[in-house]
Amino acid sequence: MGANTGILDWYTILTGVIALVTLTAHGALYIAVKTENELNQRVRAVALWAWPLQFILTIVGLIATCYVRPMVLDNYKQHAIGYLIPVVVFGSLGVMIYAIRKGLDKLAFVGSALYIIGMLVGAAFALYPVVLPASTNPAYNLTIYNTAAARHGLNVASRGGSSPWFLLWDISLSCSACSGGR
Amino acid sequence: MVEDCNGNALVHDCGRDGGGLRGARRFDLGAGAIYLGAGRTSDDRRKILRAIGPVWDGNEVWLVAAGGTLYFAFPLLYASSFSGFYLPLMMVLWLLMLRGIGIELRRAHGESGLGGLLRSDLLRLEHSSRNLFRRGLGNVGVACLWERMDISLSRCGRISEWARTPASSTGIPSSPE
Repeated sequence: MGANTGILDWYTILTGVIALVTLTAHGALYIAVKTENELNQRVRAVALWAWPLQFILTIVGLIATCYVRPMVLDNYKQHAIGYLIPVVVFGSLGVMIYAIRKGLDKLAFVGSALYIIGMLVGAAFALYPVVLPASTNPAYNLTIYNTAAARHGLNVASRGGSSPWFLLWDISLSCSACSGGR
Repeated sequence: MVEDCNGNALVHDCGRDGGGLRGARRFDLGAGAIYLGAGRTSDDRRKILRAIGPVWDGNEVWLVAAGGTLYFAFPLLYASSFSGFYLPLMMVLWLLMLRGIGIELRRAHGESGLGGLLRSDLLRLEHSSRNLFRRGLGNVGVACLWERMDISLSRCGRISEWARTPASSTGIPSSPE
């Protein structure tokens, strides 16, 4: 076990396990919102079983991330507002366990969604402006600046060259959802 | 009980409407992970599939949209990450496709999905592929037309003329110089 991680190693597997447990709990809460009776009780039990694992893995994951890449704390040290993100993450975990025990499925589901959003925003905040860190030399890091498209392309995309295209796409998606996913 | 556009009963036959969570339609990730564990009977599994039925393919399209956005906004990142993570991404894409096929087969033939495939679903899959191709071609056409009109607006001279040609041929009024 070392700090120099590759593409498939203990840290990658740990992250995969965290994602699996998180999404299992999230899916269980989604199904709990949509069902009742025996199935509802069963999926709620899955979420209740997954919660301690999720809590422990979150802490282990944070420690492992700081060990593998200590510079992830730099942005937090420079901008103290970033510490709100872990507060949201652990707060949402608290909301989840409270709501699961009280049988408040919708609140538990919202808590789970907040947890996922908090984890993703936390990772983005820690890495910014880097989007793909280089393992050999920080000078080779890919950032939002050295990977961005040319100015004209970004202008076209942001002022509407492609946005209506995505709007049409969304309408198409809504029709697809309306027809039951077919 | 509420029915969708095709008259199929939606998840409300389970007794819960989830009406206060319209945003939840985009957050069904993880339901497949508990499908076999929590769904002990065929009816339970049907209910779980009904719960994600209207939204699961929409969510996957957003994944593709995220890839497309990455391509036009950060092309170098797109190229580096896709070539660097080629094997995992291929695995994800194949699993997404197999998931979709699995859900469709389960809906059409219940537990005997493989037998159903051998009997009649080859035709169904062919029909779906044809529709998908047709829709994709239409979308690409609309996108090309839109981009040409945009070029026509932002350029002048021969490039503008070139970009205006296909828009004019469709009857859409061309932009002023």
